[in-house]
Amino acid sequence: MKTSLQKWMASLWTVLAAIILYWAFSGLETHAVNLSETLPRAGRIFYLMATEFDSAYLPDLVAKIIETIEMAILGTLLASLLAVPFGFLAAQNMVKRLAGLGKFLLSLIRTFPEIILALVFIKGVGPGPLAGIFAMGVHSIGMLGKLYSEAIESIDKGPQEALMSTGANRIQQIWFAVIPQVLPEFASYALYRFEINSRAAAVLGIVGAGGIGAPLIFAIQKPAWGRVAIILVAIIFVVSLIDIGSGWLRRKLV
Amino acid sequence: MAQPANPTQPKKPSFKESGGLKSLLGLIALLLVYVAASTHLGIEPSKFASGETWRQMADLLIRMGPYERIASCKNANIVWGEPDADTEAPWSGKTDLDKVNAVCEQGKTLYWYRSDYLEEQVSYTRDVWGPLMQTLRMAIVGAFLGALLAIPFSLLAARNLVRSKAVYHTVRIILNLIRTIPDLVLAAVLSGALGLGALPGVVALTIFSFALLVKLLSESIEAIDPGPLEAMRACGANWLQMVTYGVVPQVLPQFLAYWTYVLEVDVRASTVLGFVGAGGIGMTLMADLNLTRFRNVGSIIAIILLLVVVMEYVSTKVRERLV
Amino acid sequence: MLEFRQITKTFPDGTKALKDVNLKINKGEFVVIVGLSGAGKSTLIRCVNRLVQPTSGSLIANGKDVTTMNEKMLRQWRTEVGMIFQNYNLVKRSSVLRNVLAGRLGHTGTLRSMLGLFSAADIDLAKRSLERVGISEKTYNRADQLSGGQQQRVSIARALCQQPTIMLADEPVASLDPPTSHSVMRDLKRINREDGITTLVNLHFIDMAQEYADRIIGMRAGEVVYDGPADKVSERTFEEIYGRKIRPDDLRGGVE
Repeated sequence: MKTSLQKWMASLWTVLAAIILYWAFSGLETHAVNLSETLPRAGRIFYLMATEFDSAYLPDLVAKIIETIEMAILGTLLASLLAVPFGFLAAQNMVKRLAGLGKFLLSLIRTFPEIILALVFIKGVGPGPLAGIFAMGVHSIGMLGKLYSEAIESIDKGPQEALMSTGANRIQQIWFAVIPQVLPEFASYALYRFEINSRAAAVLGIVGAGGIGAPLIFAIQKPAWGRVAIILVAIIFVVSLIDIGSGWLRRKLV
Repeated sequence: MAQPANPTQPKKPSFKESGGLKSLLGLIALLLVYVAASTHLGIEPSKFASGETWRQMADLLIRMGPYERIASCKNANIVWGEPDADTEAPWSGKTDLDKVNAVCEQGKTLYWYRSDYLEEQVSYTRDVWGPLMQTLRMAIVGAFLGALLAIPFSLLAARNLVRSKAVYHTVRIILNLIRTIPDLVLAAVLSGALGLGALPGVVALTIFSFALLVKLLSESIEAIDPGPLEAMRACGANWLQMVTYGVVPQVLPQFLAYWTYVLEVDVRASTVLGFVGAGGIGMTLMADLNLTRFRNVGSIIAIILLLVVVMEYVSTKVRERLV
Repeated sequence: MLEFRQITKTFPDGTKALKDVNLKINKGEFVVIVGLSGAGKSTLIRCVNRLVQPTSGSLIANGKDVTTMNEKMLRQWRTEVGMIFQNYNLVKRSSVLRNVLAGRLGHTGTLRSMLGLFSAADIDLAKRSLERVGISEKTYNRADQLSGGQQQRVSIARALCQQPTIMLADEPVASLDPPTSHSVMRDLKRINREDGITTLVNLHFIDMAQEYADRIIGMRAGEVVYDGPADKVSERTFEEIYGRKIRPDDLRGGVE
């Protein structure tokens, strides 16, 4: 049963929410929402997508999609390996006081938008898949590092204590007692990250970091809606496949 | 009592049995994939061994801060300085071009910290306040509309509420398909279709939030205690009444928590949607980037980082109090 | 052989776990430490291999002070002290053999151990240790496929594989049923007899303490309140140690 204070608080929050919503809705330029204009326009575009479906583009499309997936694979591979030491450095049961610093660093890397990271790497190694791979890699290290550190912090500390009592050194303790416990979780997180990166790889191409993103933007700008349509279908198809496969693998791991 | 020494030692499991083969095949597959992918893409990771790559990236990052680049030389070390402080330096008193040559001869790249640049960057915040607010508005409206649409659909996507298997599976499949589209791709297509500005952004965020929320909410609904539902059904309540009195009270706190999380994700996403013309501070960022106004870009990035960090913090605190 | 001199342990939160403990343990003794939870039994035996660092006092083992040993000497010392735990503390996903081989980690170089290159002698020792506790048939099974009693046996084998001079057991039978508990205690006693390994066991079952111990040490609130041969101990003694009447759950029961 809610106390009257709680009820009062709830009404306060509701009023606040209503004010914010009003501010948000009214501030957006509603002249853009001219339904009588935009809906038929959208309808026309859907029509074009269906009728001018650019199946001729398929061979090039497949090549670009493969490139996109390869980017995601390499980026995830890179990150899943490099994130391991970061995960350990951010886990309280491994490095006590330093863990706070490690966590902060990881969250800094995570918050940096991938796109901008991609732009920086493009400046460094030039446009193309390499920039995208490193952008995804670095961003994923931030994400995976956090997940890894949480996995490490949640392990059973008993086996490690037992190995310490036999005279094993720190590295041996980690290798024999910690790693066997966390490895399946690490792999599961890496696969999950791969699912997300395969989407990110499609996006990074928009700024020139390789993959299907660039052809997509060109198609939108022409506009060649038939091509946009087939690219979208391809993305949906491939990402769905990856999701299904990765989900199956992850279930087998845990 | 412990058994005497076992005459028959257990047979050591063969390499295949102990799962060694599976792991080995897995590793080989991974290695092959790595080799195939990198050769196909024509990647030279060795590019990272060269200092020039790092210097180029550092150059961009530095110029996003309050620094003036005096001279940029190939294969040179980065050096910092103060304006006109080094009167002894070889470049003092020279014209710009000679200055550059003098610096490069020394094998250095020079940047100067300028406090007036810093002031400029901070005051730029005022200039981008409009687009920033637009970003927030987009996120809020998108999350709200998405939630509105999500509520009825999540009821359809919950196994324990939908009697028809066909409906359940159809909804599930459509939902999964929507979630495979990256939000930026959606925004790009919509902005091409609906024109530049906040509208495509809001629509993209609505769809994105909708799909995410339905997934989270339907899983929540599927996990509720069936007891109250059965009780409702038993006393003759119709489907709608069952939902209102049996489901809603149980999932309300979780729904609010999920919605807060979705709002956080939306704010993060809306900052970059502008890259493809879907409104908000991303468009300003793109414009500044194209005009190579890197200090402005730096300001905007700092603002975005701050916004996301604050959003994440607030979201975590609110969710803690809800659950 | 093992001497506690004025060992005191105060934890950071203020708890005084051990207060000025003085003990001399002789080689080959089978000592059982009894006391209520929180009496300091766990803390006491963990001082022996310095899993707990005493706040003050010294612990002399074979002429060296454990409390002041450096990293390297400490690890060397720990290889001589085998320990088994209430929760067995095996690496669940690893095989039994690998768990037992972990007893040799202190003697094997880091890189070699990580690559699994244990010497043939080590592997042989591990197998023989498993034989001694009567669980050879499970050598290649995954540790989590074993029952509680079997897992405890494996952990004893791991300790044996160290070829220790001292064996510590922290409530080794608290998670096991009565027949299995007695089985494990019998193994510990047999190993103590056969190898002459000084054994320190924490128990809160007083009937088991009487049955298996050579010497009983009673602890209460961080202090040693009783120290004498097992055959001189009566129910009265335990009541004094515990500071209350004996209850049914202080007894294990169920001798096989």
